[in-house]
Amino acid sequence: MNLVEGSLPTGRGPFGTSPMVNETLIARCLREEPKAQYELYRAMHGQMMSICSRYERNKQDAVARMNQGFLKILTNIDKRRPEVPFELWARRIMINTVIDEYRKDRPRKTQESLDASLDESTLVEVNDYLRHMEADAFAGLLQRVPDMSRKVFNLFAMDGYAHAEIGELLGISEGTSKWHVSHARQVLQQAIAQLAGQHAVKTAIR
Amino acid sequence: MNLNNEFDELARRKLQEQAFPFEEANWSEMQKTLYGGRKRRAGGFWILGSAAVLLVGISSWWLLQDHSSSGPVTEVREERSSNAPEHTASEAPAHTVIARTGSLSSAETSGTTGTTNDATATDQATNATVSSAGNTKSTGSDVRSTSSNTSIEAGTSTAKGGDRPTASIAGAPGGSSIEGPEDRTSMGSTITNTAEVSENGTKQGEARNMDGPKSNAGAVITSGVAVGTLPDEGIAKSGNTAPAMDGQQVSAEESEYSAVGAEEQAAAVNPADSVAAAATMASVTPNTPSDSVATALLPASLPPLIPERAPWEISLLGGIFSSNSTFTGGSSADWSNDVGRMTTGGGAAEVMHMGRHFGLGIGLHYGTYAERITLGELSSTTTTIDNFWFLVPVDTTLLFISDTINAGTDSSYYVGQSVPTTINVLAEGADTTSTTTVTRQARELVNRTSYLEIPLLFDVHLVQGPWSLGLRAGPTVGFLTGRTGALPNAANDGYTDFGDQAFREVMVGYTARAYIRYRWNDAWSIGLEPALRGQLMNSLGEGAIDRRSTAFGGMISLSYRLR
Repeated sequence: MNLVEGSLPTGRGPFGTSPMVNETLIARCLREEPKAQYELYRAMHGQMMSICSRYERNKQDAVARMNQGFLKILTNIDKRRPEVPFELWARRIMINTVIDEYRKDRPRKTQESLDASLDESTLVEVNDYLRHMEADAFAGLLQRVPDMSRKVFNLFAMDGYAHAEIGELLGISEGTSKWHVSHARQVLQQAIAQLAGQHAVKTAIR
Repeated sequence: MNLNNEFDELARRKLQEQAFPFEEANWSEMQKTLYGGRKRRAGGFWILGSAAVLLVGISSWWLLQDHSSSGPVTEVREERSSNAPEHTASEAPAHTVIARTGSLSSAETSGTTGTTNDATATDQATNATVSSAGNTKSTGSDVRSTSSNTSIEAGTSTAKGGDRPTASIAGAPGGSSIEGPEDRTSMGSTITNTAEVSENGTKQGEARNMDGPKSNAGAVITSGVAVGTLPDEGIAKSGNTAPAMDGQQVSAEESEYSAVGAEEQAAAVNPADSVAAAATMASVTPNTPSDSVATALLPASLPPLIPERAPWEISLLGGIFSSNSTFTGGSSADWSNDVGRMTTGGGAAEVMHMGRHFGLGIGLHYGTYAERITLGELSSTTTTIDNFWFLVPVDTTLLFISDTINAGTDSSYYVGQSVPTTINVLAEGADTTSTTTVTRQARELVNRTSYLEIPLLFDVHLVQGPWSLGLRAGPTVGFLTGRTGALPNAANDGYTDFGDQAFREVMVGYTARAYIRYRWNDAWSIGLEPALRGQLMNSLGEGAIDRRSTAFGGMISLSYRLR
């Protein structure tokens, strides 16, 4: 996969602009200064881990994937077009790294079926609950989602990829991509609804 | 559908809120990948460094060799006298031939040979009278051969370098002869000198153009002449004719003798009853007036074979050091106070160009930095409090009002009944659970890193008799040769082995020593040298933890001053 070419998702990703990553630091990384590489790694650590932990099952895998992606960033930093914001470019590389790795050992197709959708009132409750939910708790719920669905959901909902792009990345059809998004969303919503229900029961007891 | 979109947006925001604090451990993992290739490049640098050391060593050796092999040097000093007296044993003046040659090995060989010659002359020249028109003296070995009653009548014996063939003196008349082995060949710098003086014989050898050395007796002195083959001529020639005896004229057909390759002193001392029979390294210049002693100076461009004292000094050192390292940054604040000293060894070889008070040189040092880190166990305790509710039965009595009786307008009575019962009261309890997790095992780490260092050394010293006091110091460039040990990792919840730890392969450091040395002869000295060395860079390379090592100790030195 070309690390440089390709459209960059615009907008909604978790990558903000890090004030610590400036052109001077990038230029020093181009000169392969170890200290600059360390500073860049430190500056982007949170953002890179945010991506990788969403796609990987556990922290260990997330760190390994993050380092793998960062190595690609460093080795291809000279190929970045100057008009492309560094953070967006780096995010693209990181996501591609995760997806590439996933495609290497893609699991066999699994038969999964969609559960029944929740009714509207329950969805309102779910959203309310999610609004006040701890971030780590939600991240934990995300891990319950099956691998493929989680990746598609991440690409679509978190990183702003279109279904066509996702289909191209993962070698699936747009329809399959949409199915995975729905499936992931349902799993999450049902899990949240369960939590919300328990919360309501506890509140009632009190 | 809107609810789903809202859900997606909420999920995205929620995940954005997730914090991932930077962990040094992750960077350590990254470094393994990132700098793996750099280690290979450092390996190449190591090869280059070794090649540089080798080159410097060979250059130094070559310079030294060149210094001592600056070509054969023969310096011939001959004294001329217009009318050489007829020397008798009693009046023969001291004759001097100074012959020098240029190679160190020649000097040593010739010195030895000179001694042999002298001994031979002493043994065999007894009662021989040799009158000599020229003094024969070969300087350099301080060996003089004296044979009583022997005088050598020889023309000026000239040891001459250059391309002249080596000559021998043959004295034939009356059985007395000075013979040089005509075909004796001395290869390279080997010089073979023989001096034979027959007992009761008088050396009759006389240079053809010299007057009068006449033998008093018919003794035969055979003086083997030092034969040194010049580099460009491998075979010594001897063109001597027999010297005259009792009036016979001794002619030296080929009167130029060269004795090459020796700094040798063979003195012909001519006491009344003794004549030195050292004819070594003598050459007789043809056409030299018989009553004169030729003085021929060889080209001045040829420096002395070996200077009295060369400025070069070679030292070997070995000793023990007390080493320690300081750690800063990263998680080291938790354990840097637990670092202790270790004893290590070290050795060195140095080549110094020494002046009167100052010197400059390089060396090759091998040393190890080590430290001991005693680490206690680290654990974390998590206490979880779980609240729960339960019912507590409480026995009580309830009063039931079953009726009301009006007893007038302003009073009434209530009819009640007490009923004993038990009620359950809801109570709250808490379960406290403490979990202790050992995050880091207790360990005692012994860490060692070895370096091959090349120092640039500056020396200042003071010499008092055989004693030398000095200071020697300079910067060093060290190449990492080995490492063992481990360090607590960045998260301080385990250990990172030195094998997995990024290390700087090339280090800049310093070394400094004070020394006191005792020189027991011109060349050798032994010394005691307190020393200090250290590193000016972080040996762990880039990373949060900074490790800098120092060591102090003492060394014993053995130095050889080239002469």
